[in-house]
Amino acid sequence: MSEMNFQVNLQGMIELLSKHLYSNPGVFARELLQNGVDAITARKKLGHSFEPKILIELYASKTVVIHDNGIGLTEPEIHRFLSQIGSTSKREELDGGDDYIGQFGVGMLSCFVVSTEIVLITRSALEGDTLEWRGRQDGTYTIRKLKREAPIGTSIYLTCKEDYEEYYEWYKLEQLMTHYGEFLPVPILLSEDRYERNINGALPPWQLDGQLALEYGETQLGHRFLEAIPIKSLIGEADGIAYILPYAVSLQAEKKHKVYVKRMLLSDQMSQILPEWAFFVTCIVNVGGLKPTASRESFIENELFFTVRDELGQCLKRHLMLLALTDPDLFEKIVKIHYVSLKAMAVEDDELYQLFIRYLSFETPYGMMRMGDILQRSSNIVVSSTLDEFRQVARVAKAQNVMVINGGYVHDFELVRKLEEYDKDTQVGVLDPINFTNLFQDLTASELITASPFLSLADKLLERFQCRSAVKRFEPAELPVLYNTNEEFNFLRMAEQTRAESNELFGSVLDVVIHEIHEVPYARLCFNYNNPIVQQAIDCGNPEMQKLCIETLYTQSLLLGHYPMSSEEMKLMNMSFMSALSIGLGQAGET
Amino acid sequence: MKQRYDELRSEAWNLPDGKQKVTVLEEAVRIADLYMSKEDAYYARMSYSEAALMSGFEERFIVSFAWCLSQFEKQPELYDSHQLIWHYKWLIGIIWRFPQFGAVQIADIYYDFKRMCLQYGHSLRPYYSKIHMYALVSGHAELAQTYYEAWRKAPYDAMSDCRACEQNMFGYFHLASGRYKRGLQTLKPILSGKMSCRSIPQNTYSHVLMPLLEIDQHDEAAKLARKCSRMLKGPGYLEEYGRLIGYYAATDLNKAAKLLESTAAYAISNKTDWNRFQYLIGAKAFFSLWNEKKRKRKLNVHSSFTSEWVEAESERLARAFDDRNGNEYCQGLLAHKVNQVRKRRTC
Repeated sequence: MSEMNFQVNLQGMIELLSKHLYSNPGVFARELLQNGVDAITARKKLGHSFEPKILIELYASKTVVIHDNGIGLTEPEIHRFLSQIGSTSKREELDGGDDYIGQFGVGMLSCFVVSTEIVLITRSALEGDTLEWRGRQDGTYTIRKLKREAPIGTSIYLTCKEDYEEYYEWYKLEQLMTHYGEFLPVPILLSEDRYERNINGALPPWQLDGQLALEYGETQLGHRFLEAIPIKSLIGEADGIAYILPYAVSLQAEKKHKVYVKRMLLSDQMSQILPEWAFFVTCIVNVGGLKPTASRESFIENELFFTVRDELGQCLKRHLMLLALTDPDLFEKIVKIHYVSLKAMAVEDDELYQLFIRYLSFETPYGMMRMGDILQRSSNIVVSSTLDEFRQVARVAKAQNVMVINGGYVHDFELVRKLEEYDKDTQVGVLDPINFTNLFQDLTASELITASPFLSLADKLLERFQCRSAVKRFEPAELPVLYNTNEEFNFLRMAEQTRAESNELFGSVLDVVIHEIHEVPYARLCFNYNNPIVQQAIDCGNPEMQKLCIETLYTQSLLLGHYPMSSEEMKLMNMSFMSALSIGLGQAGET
Repeated sequence: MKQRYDELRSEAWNLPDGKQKVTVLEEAVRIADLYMSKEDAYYARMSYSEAALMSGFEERFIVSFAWCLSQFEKQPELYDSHQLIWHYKWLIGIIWRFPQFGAVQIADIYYDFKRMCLQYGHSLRPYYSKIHMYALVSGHAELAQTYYEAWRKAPYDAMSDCRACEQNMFGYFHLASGRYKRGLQTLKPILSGKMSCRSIPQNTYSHVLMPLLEIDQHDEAAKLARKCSRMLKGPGYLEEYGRLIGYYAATDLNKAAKLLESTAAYAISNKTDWNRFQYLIGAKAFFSLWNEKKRKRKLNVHSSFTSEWVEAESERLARAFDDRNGNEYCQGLLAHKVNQVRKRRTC
């Protein structure tokens, strides 16, 4: 048995890298800057005294040369690191506290995306020879010693590949180098003919204080942010600035944070570096202690990553808590704009709940109200679990002076339910729409005796629609009945309608859902004794007229509440309407 | 009403999976039924079906799907057959989770699904994978093996589950059959992060925790349990919560208590008995250890969620499934899983 090596098709590999691993051809700039900075870091570690510098020269012949005065490469290192894909001079220290940016040994390949040939001239700080390495796209390379001695460091020559001319233009190179390298700690110069420009040197935003950081945000990110919050993680060696957005964002909106690794831009589209709830901020952060993925566009999501993310999230929380004390106006403004996000935070964090709950707004029969105002008005609160249930009772609840909060919006139910833990004097009940009318005023004993036959008749007539009746006094008086269901009831209605349309196989399946998986609940039709028509109907003692009245009020309440009606209910509505018309017209004839 | 319908659908888009999302979409369905075309009602139900399934309301999914199927059968040219059969595949993946459905009824449904796959030119791969799972969880090991082989032989096509889901089920088969090392080996591409989808790896993590304890890989189990806890959110993961509670009952009882407190409400309101059964297995294991000592700490769960109730309900469910399946597999499973947690306890 003989052992053989896999054959790697370099051409295919380059295509793979350029099209799949890297998101755009311009990443060669990042890889070259990274190699330069890492080489300089390595040379510093040797104790050499020199002025670190990276120089990028652009020539009219569409050639770019990148010089660094870093550690350089020896011949064995060239064989190992440049000519073997996946080898890197930096990996031994991968798990240690390394100072290097790169680690995968595939960076140089990205140059083949824009260049047909790579020429590298290098002299190692460890030995004297000046070496030239020429690598070609077909996977071949040559190495030779040069007679002329070059300074310690490395120069990389790229020659333009067809269709990539743009990357050899001043404006493009300047843009790329600035994009990736504007905060790198080594001076970077871009030059063409005799013109030179410094790419970096400005103070990075994570080192700026409040007002300056806000100004940076306005000029660089184009928004007048509400606040700039310093964020820090010791364990992840992360420093950053989080800007509070001046507009509300959707929960589903993609978060885009700008993330640097050891001051080199990793990505300006990263979504994961802050906790999910922090969608009201955008941040710029420089991280030293996390490992980027091979594409170098995000981080490996290991335990450390999540710890760092939580630590950064803690900074946001602490700052907001402080802000509530030091700048209440700004704090309120932030709450007003970002209440959705803040509700998501408050639901998961008791400290933040206490801080925010009074400022957060909820829907009540009196309109949107802040919890602070709600609690001033009433310490007895009822919360609905759905918007539909809230709508059923909102109007009468207001007339009865009952404080109902709509818990149908995301997080509102949990937030209101938690009130009891936070404020011992507050009582929170969950709305049961079917029994909501129990809160209304009872009839007197004699009134009840009078109403009893009417209610029995109503129960008998409505039994087939799974509805039971009650009678109470409530406001507004012009409302003759209140029809209440809960969502379980609505669902079973839907199931029954589906049953009517299904084939035999699924008919039997739906029978199981309706009769065995669920218990059939009853809806409630509550007559309002304050309403003159209802009183008249109860007092009239004429069962025929009472029947007509019950059927009309029942179908009318379904119609007004936008409930779906079965074919039987439709028939009932038409018949009762025609009967009422007929009686009315008959009486008109008599007069 | 069209405006309200659009508003509801856009509101639902912004909501995480859960009861609210389902309620909002249910209102959209009602509006579409009352005021809009059958096609609008059909597409509203398609969204509702998905939300119901992802939020742990499987019985609502069944009703919604049945309506869509009835419309599709009336006018198949109006609707996309692929999407409908895809939902049908979901249905056969959950129907056995309700012991209220009889074995014959379930067999008829599987047969109907198979017929439809053949009629529309799809591979029977998803049919075999789902019926394999049904056989496996019903305690019919030989049938499960037969269907497993048919599944692996059937060609993969656009109706098949995604590769990550399939890999997960391959691994689960070995784990459920007690072949822990082989199962873990099969699940390696998922555990190493190479394969994932909407429900993978969180589902996988929950399955491997106890097997990892069984083969003494405690650190790996602890790491995956942390990852799993981070990923599970909302009422759609009742089974996974149950398995995680079982694992933490063995390794960190306080953590198990916390997890139980934050998820017990889901188990009370859920109607899918298989999912509740899986949850209650974990809860029963937890209580069996929690009640060993007198504790100062009172559990913050609904007053009806007592250890007595958990015990009685888990046994009732096991019997209900066994009655349907014609064996005593689930009662054995309940006892085995609880013992496994007790035997492997480290805390």
